[in-house]
Amino acid sequence: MSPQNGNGFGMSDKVKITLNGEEVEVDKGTTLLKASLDKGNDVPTFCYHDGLDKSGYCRMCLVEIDTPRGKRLITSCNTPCAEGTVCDSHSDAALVGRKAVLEFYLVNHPIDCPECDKAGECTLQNNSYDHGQAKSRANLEDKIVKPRKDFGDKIRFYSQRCVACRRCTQFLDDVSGTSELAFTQRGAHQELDVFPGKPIHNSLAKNIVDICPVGALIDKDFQYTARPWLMSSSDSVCAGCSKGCAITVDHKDEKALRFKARFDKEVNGHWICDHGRDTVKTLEINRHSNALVDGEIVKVMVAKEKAVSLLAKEFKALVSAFNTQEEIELTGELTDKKFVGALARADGDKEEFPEFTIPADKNPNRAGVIQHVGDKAFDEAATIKNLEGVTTLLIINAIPEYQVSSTLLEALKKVQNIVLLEAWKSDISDIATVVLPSAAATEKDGTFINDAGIERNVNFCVPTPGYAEMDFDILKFLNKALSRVGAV
Amino acid sequence: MPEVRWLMEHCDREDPRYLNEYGDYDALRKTFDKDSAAVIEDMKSAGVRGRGGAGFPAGLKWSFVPQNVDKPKYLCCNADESEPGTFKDRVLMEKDPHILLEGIAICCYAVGIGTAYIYIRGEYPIAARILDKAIAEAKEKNLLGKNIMDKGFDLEIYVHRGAGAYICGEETGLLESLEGKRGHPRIKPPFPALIGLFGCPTVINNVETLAAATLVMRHGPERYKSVGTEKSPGTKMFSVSGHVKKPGVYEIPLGTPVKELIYDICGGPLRDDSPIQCVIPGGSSAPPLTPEVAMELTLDYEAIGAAGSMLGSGGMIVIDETVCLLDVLYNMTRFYADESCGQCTPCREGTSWLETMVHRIEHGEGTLEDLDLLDEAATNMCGTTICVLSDSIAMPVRVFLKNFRHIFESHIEAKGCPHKMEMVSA
Repeated sequence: MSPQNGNGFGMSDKVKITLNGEEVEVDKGTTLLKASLDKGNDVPTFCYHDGLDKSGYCRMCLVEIDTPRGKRLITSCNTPCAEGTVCDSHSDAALVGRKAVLEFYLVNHPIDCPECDKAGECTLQNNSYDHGQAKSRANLEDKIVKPRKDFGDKIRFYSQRCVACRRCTQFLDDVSGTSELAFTQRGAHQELDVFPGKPIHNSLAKNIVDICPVGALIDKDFQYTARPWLMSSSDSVCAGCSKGCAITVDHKDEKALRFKARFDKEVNGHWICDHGRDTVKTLEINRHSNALVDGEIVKVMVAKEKAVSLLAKEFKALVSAFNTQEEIELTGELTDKKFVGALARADGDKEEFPEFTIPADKNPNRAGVIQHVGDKAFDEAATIKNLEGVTTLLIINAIPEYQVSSTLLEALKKVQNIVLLEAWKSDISDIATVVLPSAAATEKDGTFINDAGIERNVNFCVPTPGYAEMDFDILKFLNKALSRVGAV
Repeated sequence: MPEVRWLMEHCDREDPRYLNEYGDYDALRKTFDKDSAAVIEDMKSAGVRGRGGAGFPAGLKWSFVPQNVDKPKYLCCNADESEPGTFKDRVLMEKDPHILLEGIAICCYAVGIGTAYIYIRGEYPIAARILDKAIAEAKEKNLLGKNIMDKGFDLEIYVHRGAGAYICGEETGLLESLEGKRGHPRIKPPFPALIGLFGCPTVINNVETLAAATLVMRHGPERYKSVGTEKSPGTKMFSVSGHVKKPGVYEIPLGTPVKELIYDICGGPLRDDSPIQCVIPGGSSAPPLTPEVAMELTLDYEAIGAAGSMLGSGGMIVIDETVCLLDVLYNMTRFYADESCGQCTPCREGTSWLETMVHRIEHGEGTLEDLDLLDEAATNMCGTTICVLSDSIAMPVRVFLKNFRHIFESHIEAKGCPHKMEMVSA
């Protein structure tokens, strides 16, 4: 019982433990859970999360260790490996212990999986499947019924599904620092709740839906949209701002339905912001799906031929901070690096949280554009000056809902021929001679460079809408066609 | 062995014993003559064990606190006496508050503490008021506060009233509550001796333990050890309730036979025609004993522990045959289900599950299979949680099932509570 026990830090940086009969060397301070997981021993958890500091509330990760007082079950997530620890993660006692703990989770759980949004990606389901028993021994009529609540306009809470793992309260306390959620009541009547009149309203809130191991916290925007097992997932990068957070794009029937945070140690850690998450909603709004020539819908080939004929003479290019490195480079090749400038979305608010920052710059590839176009790429006055005397201009613009400034628009109106590769409709579409529909970030492959100079790839997740094509493919076609006519 | 009233010497009175009668902290004055290590050594040698329930040696606990740290150190006096059947600390605080305050001062001097909190349960307003008054008059006489007795030692004592949660009597739950948070027990390690109140080294002791420190310093450890057993020296206060002729708080040497406490001191069973059915030796969380076993035992930590129960806080409950034991158990499960803090799943869900199962059996809706399930659920609740609240109800449930299985079976056979049926038919 000495207080010095338990931490057991040795002098060296490595400690040797015996895990399931095998001698293993691990870094000092590694928890038994991590050591077990690293060796491929699946120990179930609810409350443990790599991105959060505290755990040990769910009591699910029990393993058996040898102590001077005999073998004991302990929670592996908060027990550091000590020199000489003998641990068995899958002994009979550990398995029985975990099965017993799991049974308690289902005593008052509504087991409403058929209508629960989390079903299919639910930790309680998975753990029950792996470690539980098929038949419930608790009497259904005795269940304590708890209500459904609204936690603001983003999140809905199903109290009875909650397993009280405290991931959400920890996240709101430590990462967002907003502390909206707290437990009320005691024992089995314990419920999460917000303070009266203070809903969850921070820009990181939906992360708690991601980390909720069960279907207690539900994203109102996504609820009842799709079953997780009917969706496919692709890894990509969020194009919502210059941070370039790693995301997982969940899609079904060729439509992106949900962005979830993906771990990237250098860029965003475990979290993403709600602004980025919500960009999934803009993917289908106001998009170009047809090619236009002088405002009339035409076949794509017709528009492309028109574009080739316009670009056969000398032309300059205007790119956007939403285009990938590859697209900008190829555009450079086409025009012999004659860029007039670049388009960018106006700065938003910089939002700072204790463990996360949302930058003010809302463009995913500003740093990359500056590499190709130069320091003055985003200087609008310089761009307007460069436009003087230009008769043919190639614009590639993948900015969602782009609001072009009136001065720039006036300058563009003076350009005789504009070939526009555009994903979302904007005021430039109306003055362009040829509009070729192009792709959003989730619809193409390429590289972005974020505000910290880190390169990350966006990946093709879902096809482009209608007759739209990836910018790079269109540019490649133009390159080939123009070289054939001898323009390049 | 008769009563030995050391702590309770002055508890048989109407009003609290204030400073004019108490004297001016002679034990503390003696303490100041020694260095702090010697004081801790005296406590160790006296063998005072924690009177809150766990029986951990107090001197050892004090010695765990690191001596040279740049953080402040704290003492928390646990006066959150919420265990059903326990009401000994209340008597001490309401009748002789200065013996506690002096004990606190001794502990603080030994460990090097400048601030002490008395965390008193919300249902003890009178005791809180008396302590406040006692602290004020001690400060006036320079027995507390700045530069006590001109020895250059400062100590502030604050009384903090709880809000009525059983779990805040658990030492780390108490710390959280004192910090102004929800009374959720902390994960140990780290133990409070290293990281306690506000992240600083903290000693947490029961009221009776700290009062015993006054005795040890006043009379010396040898005198203190002169009563009691070798491993459980000294006296202990027992609060006896239930079906005895003279329930109340009694101070007896540890090692006194149970029989003597119940028959000689408390006057025996309440009703001559109803024999004792069950004895709960140390508060509701101590597993119950049958009278046959209990009457052979002595009241010390080792003997009671060997019999499968625990001395706990010394809240002895004696139950005769006029009561349905299952009703008693149901009442207890209801209490623990209500008081579970909700942090760990086995406790949060388990306590309320036990409650519904026992309720069902008590009301004649149970089956024999339910008894096995009840036992298994209770077994699974043991040892898998952060604090011992879960064990505190799971153990009694298991022991009730083991020692009094016939009562459960009679409820199942009769499809109801035989006691209540008798009452209705009578």
